[in-house]
Amino acid sequence: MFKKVLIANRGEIAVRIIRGLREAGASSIAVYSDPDRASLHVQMADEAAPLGAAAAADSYLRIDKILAAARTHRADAIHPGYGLLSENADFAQACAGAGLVFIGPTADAIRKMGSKTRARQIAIAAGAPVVPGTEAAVSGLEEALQVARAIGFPVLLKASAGGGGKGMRRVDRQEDLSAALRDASSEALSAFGNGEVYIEKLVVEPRHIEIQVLGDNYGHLIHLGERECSIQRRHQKVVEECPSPVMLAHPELREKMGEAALKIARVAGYTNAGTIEFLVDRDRNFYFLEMNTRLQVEHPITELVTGLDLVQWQLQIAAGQRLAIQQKDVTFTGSAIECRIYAEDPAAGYLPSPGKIAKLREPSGPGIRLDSGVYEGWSVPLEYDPLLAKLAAWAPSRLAAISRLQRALDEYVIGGIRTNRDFFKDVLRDPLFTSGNLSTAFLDDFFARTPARSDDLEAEAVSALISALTARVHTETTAFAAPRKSSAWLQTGRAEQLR
Amino acid sequence: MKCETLVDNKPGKLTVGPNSFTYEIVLGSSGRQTGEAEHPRRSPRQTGDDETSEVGANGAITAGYTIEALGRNDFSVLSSGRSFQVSVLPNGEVSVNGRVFHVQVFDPRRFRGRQANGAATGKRIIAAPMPGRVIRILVEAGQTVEAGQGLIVVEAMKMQNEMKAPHAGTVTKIKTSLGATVTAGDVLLVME
Repeated sequence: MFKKVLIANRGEIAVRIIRGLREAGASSIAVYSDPDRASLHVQMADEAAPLGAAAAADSYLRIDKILAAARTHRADAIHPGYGLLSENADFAQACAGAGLVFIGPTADAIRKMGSKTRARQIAIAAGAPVVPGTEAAVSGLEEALQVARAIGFPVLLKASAGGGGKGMRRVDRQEDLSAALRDASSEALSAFGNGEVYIEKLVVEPRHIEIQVLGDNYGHLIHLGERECSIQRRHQKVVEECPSPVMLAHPELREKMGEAALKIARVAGYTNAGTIEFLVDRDRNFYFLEMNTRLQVEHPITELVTGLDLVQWQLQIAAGQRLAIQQKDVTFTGSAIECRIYAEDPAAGYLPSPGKIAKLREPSGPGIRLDSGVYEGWSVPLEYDPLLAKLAAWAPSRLAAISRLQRALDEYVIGGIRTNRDFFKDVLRDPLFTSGNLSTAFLDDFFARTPARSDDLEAEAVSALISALTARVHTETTAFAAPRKSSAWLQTGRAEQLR
Repeated sequence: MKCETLVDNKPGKLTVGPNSFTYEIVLGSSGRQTGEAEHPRRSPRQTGDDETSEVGANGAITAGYTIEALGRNDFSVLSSGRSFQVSVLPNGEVSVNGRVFHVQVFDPRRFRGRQANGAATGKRIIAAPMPGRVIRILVEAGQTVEAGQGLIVVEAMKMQNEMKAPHAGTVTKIKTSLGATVTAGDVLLVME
């Protein structure tokens, strides 16, 4: 096992890995940018090294600085977390070149699966179903028309170099194809410097279900079942659960998808932890989407349901140990659901809401797991992903897990910044969610169909009472952000309470 | 102690005594849709033999209370036997049992007077109840307005929220502009 591991990441995932290292008896080295000096991961790590200015391009994405820090602090391995450099094949290779173990797959596997078209070819070679469409960019409108007619409308145009919805267009009718192709191509060109576009059949209202795989360096690969991540806003997952409700009704689907995922991983020569994403249509046909060659944000729900610690296995596999679990040993107990708590305001178009966390009260109790990267008094920086924490609940059944998560959300107080906490309360009480009949279109008309929360006149009255007694008196001249003034009211109020 | 309040932009009246307090929403004059608050939104609740919070016909709630200060900004409130965990947050926000209210309290002694019908008058801040964009400004500075008249419309997530005049008076200042992005609590307009 490693003695000392540098974590090339920040926030809650850095904290998660520090915890894993401590449990493994290894030391941790945090890295940080200037605004992250006082962040939780720096406080919790055994050692910490500065990277520089706030912008990720000047700090967390600087391979040279990270390797220099690893050298200075005598690290023997690097864990990349997720995002940032985690799927950068050059980084994995540079680690190896510097005599450091990269805790993840080989640079070659990252490169293969990181290219959408190569990943698709690998999936086809592995005999896994893929969404019908072109494997490479289309040459022009004529080819596009031919392909679209063959696979049938609606189709999806996607940028070859892209991601995050850029250069993506849904086309429902043949007569719209020409304009959509032109728009997608120019958008792709300006976003990625590459205007190549390919065509896929649009799977209407699919579920997004992914399979966790784990493989050692000696060819032994297993899967740890699925996670359903259909609840997404702008292609970003916000609620994940394990098992998928569809697997609860059709357990044979897990075996089929798990087998397909393992075949793909085998062809790719995959090692360590990875996730293969699929779309699943209403008839439970599934199609390979892409592979994430790293630890996934939502890994805790798999850990809760399988009882396996993914970070520990990542460390052991990277250290050259054999994966001592057989497929038949992997069992699934109960249900786990996770909410991604973001510093953002869903009511204002998911506008990011950085700032100081003035109040933090964290949930706990039976079946609750909180992976948080923040603390009361911490100022959430503007520069990075607004993920504050992941709140997960485990219970013996899906409905009990929903109740538990609702209870934990009620306990969770994050004051001073906007978060999406209340949005999750609405999601969890949505009849469509409790029915388990999910799709990636879940949020499309969510705000329209969600009834307003019922008023609580007593709570409202108490908010007014406490405000009055703490002398938050406003006149025309005292604006909201003005410092609080002590007034005669405060003394009066206190005096009255003392009587 | 008597004061006037704006909780999530709904005008209210608060009377605090040593052991009980009364809170009443001024009906039909809130930034919300009219017609909603005609009836009390919560029926009287019984928690013990003597622990009843009363909701009057006008929507006023009267409750006995005790407060424990837990820290500079944290309080435990028992209001007619019901337990509330309260944290005072920056920017005029108060968390009550995890629910965040935006609260302003006005000292009525600063107000010039009251109309015969009892509706509140005096300087009033009209603040944004939620983050959004100002999509309509329906009045001008210096304009006389009726109670309940629409002043400014703020839109967020396709939801339009019309701020209405809490009482008859004059618009003294408009503190925002058309198309401006506002956050909850931003002052939009001042009237007298």
